[in-house]
Amino acid sequence: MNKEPTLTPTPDEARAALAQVDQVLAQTRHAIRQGISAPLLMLWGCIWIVADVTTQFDHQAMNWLWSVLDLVGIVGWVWIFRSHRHRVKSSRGWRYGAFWGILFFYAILWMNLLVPADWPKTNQEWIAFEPEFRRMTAYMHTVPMFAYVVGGLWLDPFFIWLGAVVTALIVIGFCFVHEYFYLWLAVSGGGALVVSGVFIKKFWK
Amino acid sequence: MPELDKIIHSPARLRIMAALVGLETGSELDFTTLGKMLALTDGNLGAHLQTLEEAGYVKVEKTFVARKPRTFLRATARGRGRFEEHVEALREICRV
Repeated sequence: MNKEPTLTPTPDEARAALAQVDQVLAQTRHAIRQGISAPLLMLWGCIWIVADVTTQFDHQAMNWLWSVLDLVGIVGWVWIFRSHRHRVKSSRGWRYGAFWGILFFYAILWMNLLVPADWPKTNQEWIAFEPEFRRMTAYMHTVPMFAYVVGGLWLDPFFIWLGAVVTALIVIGFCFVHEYFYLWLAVSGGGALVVSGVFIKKFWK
Repeated sequence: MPELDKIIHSPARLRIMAALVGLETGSELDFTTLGKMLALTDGNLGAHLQTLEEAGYVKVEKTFVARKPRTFLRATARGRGRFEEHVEALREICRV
């Protein structure tokens, strides 16, 4: 065990102690967020990549694929939170879950109210429907990015940047990359989430 | 005038308190996770935690997660208050 220091530190010793405190505070917050954020970002990044690549080449599959992938995402989300419980017991953990649940409820509610109920069955119907679907897809991809930006105001500026950059990429793709919009989403959106997850896992320790 | 706390003043205990105060109020950190984060051995961490617990600065709770025994730690309101005062006293010294 270290020798106990005197209780009359010099200004230099006090500065060194304060630097230690700041370092440990930042380390704790990063280590805790790393445990949840990194796997969640990688999981949802992969889901976006699979869903968006599939949409680009087989739009009919989207009729059921998003539902399946959302279910995978929710199950994975619960599993990640449960496995994190052995490291940290958060007094506000349930609020994060409630926040995402409420956010998606509103996003899905308005998506269903604003788009036609009938899914296109033929290629011609799809061609007519595609601009509508592109708008809806862009909107649904920006909803979690909105949450990152807002959450980042409290948690960490990293999430503000992540949400803002991915939102900008989605908007750029929506405006300028019509033909390969879903591939653009897979690479810029899903790719950015996966890369962010890897970055957090590697550097937030 | 804020005062230094002789229990928290030890470098290891200062870091332990900083880690626990860094959590949201009421949140708890696992013993093993804390030891790894601060690069302290189990014995060293345990000894410092005992001192902090006896002072009423830290609450130690033994429980089971997925049928495995776990020890969770959290800073008490008293511990958070003493830590804040200690840090403020260090800042005062820096201003001199």
